[in-house]
This record gives sequence, C-alpha cells and structure tokens, in this order.
Amino acid sequence: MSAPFLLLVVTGVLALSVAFLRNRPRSYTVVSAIGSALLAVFSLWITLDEPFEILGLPVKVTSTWLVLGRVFVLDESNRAAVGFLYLAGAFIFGGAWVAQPSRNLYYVGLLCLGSVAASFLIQPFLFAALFLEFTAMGAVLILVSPENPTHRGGLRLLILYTLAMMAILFAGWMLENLGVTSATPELAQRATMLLALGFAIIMAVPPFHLWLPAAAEKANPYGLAFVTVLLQSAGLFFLLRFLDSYTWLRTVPGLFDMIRWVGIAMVCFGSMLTITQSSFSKVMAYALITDFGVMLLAVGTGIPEGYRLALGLSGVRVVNLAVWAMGLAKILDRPGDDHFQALQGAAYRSPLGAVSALIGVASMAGFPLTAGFPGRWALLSMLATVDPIAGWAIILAFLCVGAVTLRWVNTLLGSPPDDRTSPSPIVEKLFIGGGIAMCILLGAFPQLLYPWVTDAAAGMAQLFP
Amino acid sequence: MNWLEEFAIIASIAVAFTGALLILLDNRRLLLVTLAVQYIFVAWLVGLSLPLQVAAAKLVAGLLACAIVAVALANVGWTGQLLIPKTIPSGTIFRAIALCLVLMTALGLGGDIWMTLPKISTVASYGATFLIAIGLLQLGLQEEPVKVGVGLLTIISGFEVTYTTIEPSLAVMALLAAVHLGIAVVVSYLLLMASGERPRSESQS
Repeated sequence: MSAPFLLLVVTGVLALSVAFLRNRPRSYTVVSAIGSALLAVFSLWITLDEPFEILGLPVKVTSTWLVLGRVFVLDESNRAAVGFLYLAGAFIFGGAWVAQPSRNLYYVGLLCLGSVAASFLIQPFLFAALFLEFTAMGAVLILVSPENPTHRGGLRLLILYTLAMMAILFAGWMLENLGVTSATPELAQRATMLLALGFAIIMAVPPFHLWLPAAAEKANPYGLAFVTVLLQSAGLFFLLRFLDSYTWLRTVPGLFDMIRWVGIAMVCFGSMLTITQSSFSKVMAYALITDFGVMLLAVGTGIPEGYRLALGLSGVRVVNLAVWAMGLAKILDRPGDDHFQALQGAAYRSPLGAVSALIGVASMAGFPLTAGFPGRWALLSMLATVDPIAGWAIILAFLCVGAVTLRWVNTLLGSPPDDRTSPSPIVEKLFIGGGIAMCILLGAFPQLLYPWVTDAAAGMAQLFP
Repeated sequence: MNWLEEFAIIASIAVAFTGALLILLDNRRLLLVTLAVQYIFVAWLVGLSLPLQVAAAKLVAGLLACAIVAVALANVGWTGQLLIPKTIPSGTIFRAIALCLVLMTALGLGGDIWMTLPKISTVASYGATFLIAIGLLQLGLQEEPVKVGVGLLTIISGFEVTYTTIEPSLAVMALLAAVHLGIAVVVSYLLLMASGERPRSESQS
C-alpha cells in the first residue's frame, strides 16, 4: 500500500460518503471532522517504508505512488504540512456544527482538502499549480450554493486561478528546462515576472483580490472562511517551496524588497477599505487582504524567522476565521443580510455569537490577548530594524481594523429592534465557547501553535537550514 | 511531413474563425456547436507535437466538456439569458471592433511570443496566440457563466497547444483534460444555481 494513495482515496471516499448522507447535517460534520482528523494522524505518524504489524498482520506502507509517470510522495519533507492541512480541515468542519453551511462545504470541502494535499505531495512540485486550479473549482461550488446563488465572486476566482495556473506552469517550465539562473538575467527576469503574476493572483494582491469582496457579499461566511484558509495556506506553502527549490530566486536583486512593498500596499489598501465597509462579511474580506499583506511582509524579510512567522500567521488565521464565521452565523437574522441595520442589537439576540464574531475580528486586527497578537508583535519587532515603513503599516492595520472592531461592538450592542432571542443548544455553546477560548489561549500561549505549525515547512532545507 | 503538418494553417485559421464566432454569437446552441468544432481544430494543432491518439484524447475531453454544459443548458433552457447587470458595453458592433483589434494584435505577436519554446511550429504558435487572445477578450466582455466558461476553455486550449510541445507527459495531459471537464462542471452548476434549479441531491435533502 502507498501512503499518498491511501490519503487521497480515503479523502475521496469520505467525500462520497458525505454526499450520500442526506438530511443529516450533523452527520456531515461528524464524518468530515473525524475523517479529516484521522487522516491528519495518519499523515503525521504512519511508519513509512518499513514493515510493522497491525493486529498481528504484517503491513508495509510505502511513501510513493506512481501515476502516469508522475510521483506523489509523502515523506518527512511534507508530512507535517499535510497533517496541518487535514487538522485545519477537521477544525473548520467541526465548527460547521454551529454555522450549518451548505452541504457542499462538506463533500466538496473534503475534495478540496484532497486536492491541496495532492499539491503538497506531487513531484515535481511545479504541477501543484494544476491542483490549486482544481481547488479553486471546488471553492466555486462552496461559495455558490442554492441559498446564495450569486456567482460573480466564484467566477472571478475561477478566472484568476486559471490564469495563475498557466503563468506558474510556464514559469516552472522555464526554470526547469531553460537553465534559468542569476547568470541569465533576461530569462530570469521573464520567469520571475511570470511567477510574480501567478503568486500575485494566488495571494489576492490587489487588483487580483476582486473575487474576495464579491464573494463575501453573498456567500455563506463559513464557506468563505474555509475557502480563504485553504487557498491561502496552499498558496503560501507553494511560494515557500519555490523559494526553497530555486536558490537563485532568493538572490534576485530587490525581490524581497518588492515582496515587502507589495505587502505594505496590501496592508494599507485593506486597512483603508475595511473602514468604509457597512457589511460584516466585507469587513472580514478586507481585513483578510490586510492579513495576507502582513503575511507577505513576513515572507519579505527574507530570513527563516520571517518565513516561520508567515506560516504561524497562516495557522492562526484558521482559528480567527472559524471563530468569526461561527459567531456571524449565529447572529445573522436572515442569511446574507449582515449590514449595520440588520445586526443592530444582535448581541442581545445571541450574546455568545456576538462575542465570537467580535473576538474573531479583533484577533484578525491583532488585539492583545488574542491569537493574532503574538505573530504581529514578533513581526513588528523583526521589521523595526529591517524596514520601519513596513512596521508602521502593521500599526496602521491594527488601528484601522481595531477601530472597525470597536464600531461593530457598538453596533452589536445597539438598541435591538425587538426582544427576540435565539437560544443556542448546549453543544453549540460548547463549540463557540471552545473557539473563543482557543483564540484567547493562543494569544496568551502562542508556543502551543507556532512551533508546531512552523514544523510544516521543516522539509525545506534551503529556507530553514 | 504528413498532411496534418502540411495543412496545419487551416487549423490555425479555423481556431481564429471559431474563436471569433464564440465572441459574436449569442445563441447558446450555436455557441456550443462552435466550441465543439473549435476543439477539433485544437486537437489538430496539438497533434502537430503529439501522437494523434493523444491529441484525439484531448478532443474527446473537449467534446465531453461541451456535452456537460449542453446537459445543464437543456435543464435550464437554451434561450433563457441570465439577468446580469451590464457594466461593460456588449453590443455586437462593439464586440466585432474589439475582436478585430485583438486579432490584429494576436497576428502581430503570434510568431514572436513563443520564441523561447524549442519545438513549437510557427503555425501552432499563431493558433495558440489567437485562442488565448480571443479567450481573454471573451473574459473581459462577459460575466454570464456560459460565456465565461467558453472563454476559459478557449484560453486553456490555446495554452495546451503550446504547453504540450514542452511538457508531453501523460499525467499533465490527463490533468489538463480534467481541468476542461472541471470548468464545464462548474459552469453547469452555476447555471443551475442561477436559474433557481437545484441539483437533484440538493432538492432531496
């Protein structure tokens, strides 16, 4: 048996089983969350290429799976990343118990997890771009559902990822076959430009962010959270693999300066537009652009500590988004209506939901004692010497997103239009309370998450010597 | 030189012509038929650098993609147009002028932009440029799922004509064929959602 084969096939079987479970929303959650968690355990701890016994039967699980001349490999270089991916999936699927998104989230979501896992496993890794395209297709099916049939955001996402796939495949071919190095400046410039275009799209760098606000306008917040977590984590990992594999790329003059400037632009752009939004989902969409910008600032430091911080921020985003989306799902009066007027006094309707949504945004802003704080603080300390302007951009982001959070506190605590309350069952309270607790716990004890998430890139020997 | 290579210029001109029709046509039936015909000529161009059987597999994948969209259209109605806010001018004359400009640009660029690719023939490179340029124009002009889907499929076809010359591995070809099918499935799904019709599994749950 081969480990990549088992991983991908079991993911597919789980997706199929969820597709066949009709009218049992709780069962979708249980199967998807537990299945993903078990796959995470499998990828993290299975003994590879050495025989072992299960119930007295000798078993050997190999690390490679050959398909049509290409190889999927699960080894020490990527098993932590695959494990992180499935655990993040399990966490988000678990939270769907409260948010109750469309059924697509579960089975298409599982297929998307499998696709991103395949992008981590495939060798040569350049073909990961194709799997990211499949993930984007799945993302469209999650964002557009019978409850939210508006397709504009989804279509834009599909168009952009298709263009990114082509740019990255061509750039990859140039790097592999044309002998591109720092000694061939013209070719290196072309390859770098193509790569920059591909990654700008994947990282939602403006103007390639257009799918995000459009999707946030109508899509289920939980579906949006899942899609952004998945696509951005896969994109970041892909970018780091490029930087790891092509040493000359790291020596391109001005590359890291350019990444930092793009990060600064994203942070400023996202922060400013966050303030102007009157819909809670769009606030989160622009706060996410700010967060991606902060992540790029971490990558733009060009040092291992910076890359580690970028991975850590990516891990924290899973918690932030899940907590926010669970809360928002509870306080929405009508699906899709999350404007100021609609959410006035929502905290009286569902206090725990309101707290959860606000903690999620506060953590995204980097408030002290939330999960988002330690990473930003560490990055700020790092950038103070490397690039003070980038440091100021992070402070601007904190001020803008923080101000928006306070404004939403005011809105949610405003006079309620009526005395309705929406009582939550005890299990939902446990889920939301657990999410909030995790957000605060990771703010106080970041060492619980950061070292583990940064292990996801342990196999990149050039980046993390 | 076999007849496929000898008359390849026909395929190159045909993809430009079918691409132009895809921009100008509004009738969904004709649109899909034109796309299917375009796939035949794309397979011809791909056949210049790959064995004919492999190129035929691409044709089959393309025709399947057309069939998938056709099934969805049969469900939601061939004539129904989705109500989409008109943010971009999309009259036929405007499209025709834009098309002329794009085709002239593609003609000017066609031979040069693929210079770094070692084995691509000049005719195939022109065909690829036409397809990509027309596909991009389609994406710029339209926001309706069918037209956007057709635009994406056209761009990917152009990309494949060039990419298969440099990366002829079976795995990549299979994955690119799956991309065509995936886009067709997504477009069909969006059509069903936009028309208010639920996929069977959704309506039963």
